[in-house]
Amino acid sequence: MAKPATLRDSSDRRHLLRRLTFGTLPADEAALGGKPVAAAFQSLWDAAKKAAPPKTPAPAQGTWTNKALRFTDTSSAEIVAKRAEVTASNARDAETIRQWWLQEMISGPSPLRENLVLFFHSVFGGSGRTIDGPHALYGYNALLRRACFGTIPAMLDAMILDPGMIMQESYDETKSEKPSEFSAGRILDNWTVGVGNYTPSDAMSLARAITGWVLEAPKGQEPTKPLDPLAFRSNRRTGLVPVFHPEFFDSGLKTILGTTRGFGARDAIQFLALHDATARRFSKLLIRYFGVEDAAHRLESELAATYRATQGSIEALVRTLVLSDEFWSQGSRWKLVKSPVHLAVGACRQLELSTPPVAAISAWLAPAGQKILEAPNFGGDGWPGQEAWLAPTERLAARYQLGAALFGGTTPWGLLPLAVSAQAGTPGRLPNTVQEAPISALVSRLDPAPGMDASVLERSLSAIPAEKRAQQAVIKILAMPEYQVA
Amino acid sequence: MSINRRQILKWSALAPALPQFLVNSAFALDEAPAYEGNILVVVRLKGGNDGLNAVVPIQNDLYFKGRPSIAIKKQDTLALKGGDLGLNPALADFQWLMDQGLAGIVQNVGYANSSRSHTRGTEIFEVGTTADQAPMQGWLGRYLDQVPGTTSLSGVEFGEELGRTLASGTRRSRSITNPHLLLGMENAPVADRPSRVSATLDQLRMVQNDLSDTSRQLLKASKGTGSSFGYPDTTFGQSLRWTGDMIEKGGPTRLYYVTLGSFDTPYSFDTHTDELAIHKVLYSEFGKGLRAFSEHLRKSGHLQRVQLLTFSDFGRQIFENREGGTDHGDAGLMFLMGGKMRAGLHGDLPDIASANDGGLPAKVDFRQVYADVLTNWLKVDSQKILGERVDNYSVIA
Repeated sequence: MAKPATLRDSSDRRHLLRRLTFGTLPADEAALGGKPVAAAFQSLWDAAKKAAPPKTPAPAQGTWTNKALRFTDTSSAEIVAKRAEVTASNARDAETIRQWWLQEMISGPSPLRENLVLFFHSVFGGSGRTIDGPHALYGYNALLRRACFGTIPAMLDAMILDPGMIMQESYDETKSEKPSEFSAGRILDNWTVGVGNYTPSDAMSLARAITGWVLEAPKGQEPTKPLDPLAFRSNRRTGLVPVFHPEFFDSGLKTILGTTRGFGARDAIQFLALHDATARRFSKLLIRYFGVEDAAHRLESELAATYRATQGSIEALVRTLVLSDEFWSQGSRWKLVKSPVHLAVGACRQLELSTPPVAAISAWLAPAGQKILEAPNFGGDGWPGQEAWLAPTERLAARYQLGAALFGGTTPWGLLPLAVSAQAGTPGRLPNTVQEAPISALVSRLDPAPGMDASVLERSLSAIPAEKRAQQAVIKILAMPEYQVA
Repeated sequence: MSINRRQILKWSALAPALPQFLVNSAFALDEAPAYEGNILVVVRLKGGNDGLNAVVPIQNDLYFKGRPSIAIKKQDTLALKGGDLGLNPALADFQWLMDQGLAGIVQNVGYANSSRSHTRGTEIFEVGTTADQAPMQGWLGRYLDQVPGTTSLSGVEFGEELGRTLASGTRRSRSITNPHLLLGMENAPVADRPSRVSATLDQLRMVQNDLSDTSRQLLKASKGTGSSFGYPDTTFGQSLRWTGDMIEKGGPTRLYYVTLGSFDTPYSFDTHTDELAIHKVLYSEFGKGLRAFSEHLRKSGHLQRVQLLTFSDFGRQIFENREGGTDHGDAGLMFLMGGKMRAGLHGDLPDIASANDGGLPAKVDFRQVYADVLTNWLKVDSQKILGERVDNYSVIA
């Protein structure tokens, strides 16, 4: 199957939308009309870039204060109790932000933008368990949204001094006498050149380069009581302002990947961001995320060249990918196992659920294998995607429960760990236009892979009362292998 | 149900890109023969269990000096033979099992140059080697790879994903978060020919076939009597109940893996803070779960063919920290339970005076216990599994 000159064919329009957004919608498909591929891409990209940013979620509004500070007169029992309280409150706030983000993906103005944010979140990781408090957690998410239309080096420049990432990678208050190789390893693995492309000596040099930064309270808002200097860092962090302390910084020369300079955090990350290994890594990751068949690695080479030529322009990289022959080849069609987020968000958008049950979807994401804001951050490349969405294979059974989660109003039995109770929520409701549609129209709207026979489905539902038939049909379609691929 | 295995195998042959485990699944579609040999259950005590507050050295002043606020007083412990050691009071049910001759504890278990990292420490216990390049297959996964007569359901881990212990090269194990999820899939339509749409879609359809088989096994187990034995209503307790039900109703599974403790909720053995309160919850749950399991197995006639052992990431330091807890250390304990084991306390007293950077020295290499279990319980040559000759540390009677 060759690259089409224009998007006259519905299957081509749908293929583009399946990959760049969270699935097809009749209006989106119509807007692409018979445009040439390059023009179609540009219109999607420009619209995403212009889309209004979402409002800050409630828990992240205002200024963060650490409610678990340990002062010199705080007892062990007091700090244990305070920390437990903060941990519980952080978990609640992270869940609120998770649901807020799902809502933005489903109903927000730009699914392409949110898809890009999801891509970078998947690559860099980021967890409400290690990022202390909703402000830093949301701040990191907002950073990705702001930066996803620029370049990867610019995004990494913002990340290296982002409070959430400083906490995530644990280099808050690292000093020259004890640099954090752990943090440096994670930055090399997750943010830049990737696993296997550096030596322990490079990691040590980067660890020295990122010393000196401390998250502190804004001027004038420091605590009035003395803090316990021996307390855990999380119990001494007074604010989210990154402040450089030259006395903690290792100002000596450092050699990173063969280049010797007096690297600090920002120039070290820039050097790494522009390294060829980083260009190659992001090329591979984009090809994987967008589900393109590139057995000969031709596209990978082209993307790496684009990265080098444009200093990591994200727009140029995605455009090159979309305009490639590989993107449109037969091997790339229906090749992608939808991520759980794509599956759930796509279904809500395709069914036009006006009040999507985001709490139930959020609960469903964990057993389905993609709890957002809990992305894996060990081992380099985030959620591996494709077949890994089915490892363990019981995740297919969890995916098949999506319909029950959307319309049941609660987490289906079996999705939670043994002996954990479900919390009731509000079930999703199909709009009248979908409710009254014939089964064949429902199948077309949900856009499964070829092979799903609407007439067989119709016969299997013939005994069900008409007012319940559409919902039952949707539940069945969502639980078929054909709906799991894009 | 009418499933044409021959057709599926023909399809598999036409689709060489399919992973081997999916091809195996075609065989699973025939009713797998029930396994009738010895069964092993591994329990992970997640987070790094503090052995010194489980088996308490009540005559050792160094213990009380190192733990001014979290040492367990002699009068609060449960008596153990010899008088030098006492059991944590929350382990009363475990003590009952020891008194019945059904349980034991090996002390000072670990290895030289112990890792204090959760990831690495767990990996070492799971793969059964301290080699830098750890194999992807766990020590019991390698066992499954080598013995005949296994199926894709020979190992079952109750948990979100398959860890390393049961991970085998030939995909003989699977993880199950919650069996209820799979119940109901036993009648899922069976795909018996390629879709001609994409290899990915074919793969998904084969996964569906595979899950149907597991569903049938779980449906059988759901008719077990486990609910009448007072298992704790916790993830650990109910995982053990399903283990008991699967053993009772018979099936192809010979290895099980369950976890006690979670880094999410509510508690793990990573007791940096508030150790006494956390131990009270976890040790009670552990003892109660094992006692229910032993009763279930006894009444269903399987106690003599089941052995259970625990491991944890590492032991903990002898000194308490500033938040009522202990930090990562070295050697720790291994709990065991079974109908044919050498019950009681094994190993020397903990050598607190020789602690290195707060960690207890290992006196028993964990691989010695594994070797005994492999040789005398699973009846295989332990050297073939562990990759080296290790002297057995005798725990099986």
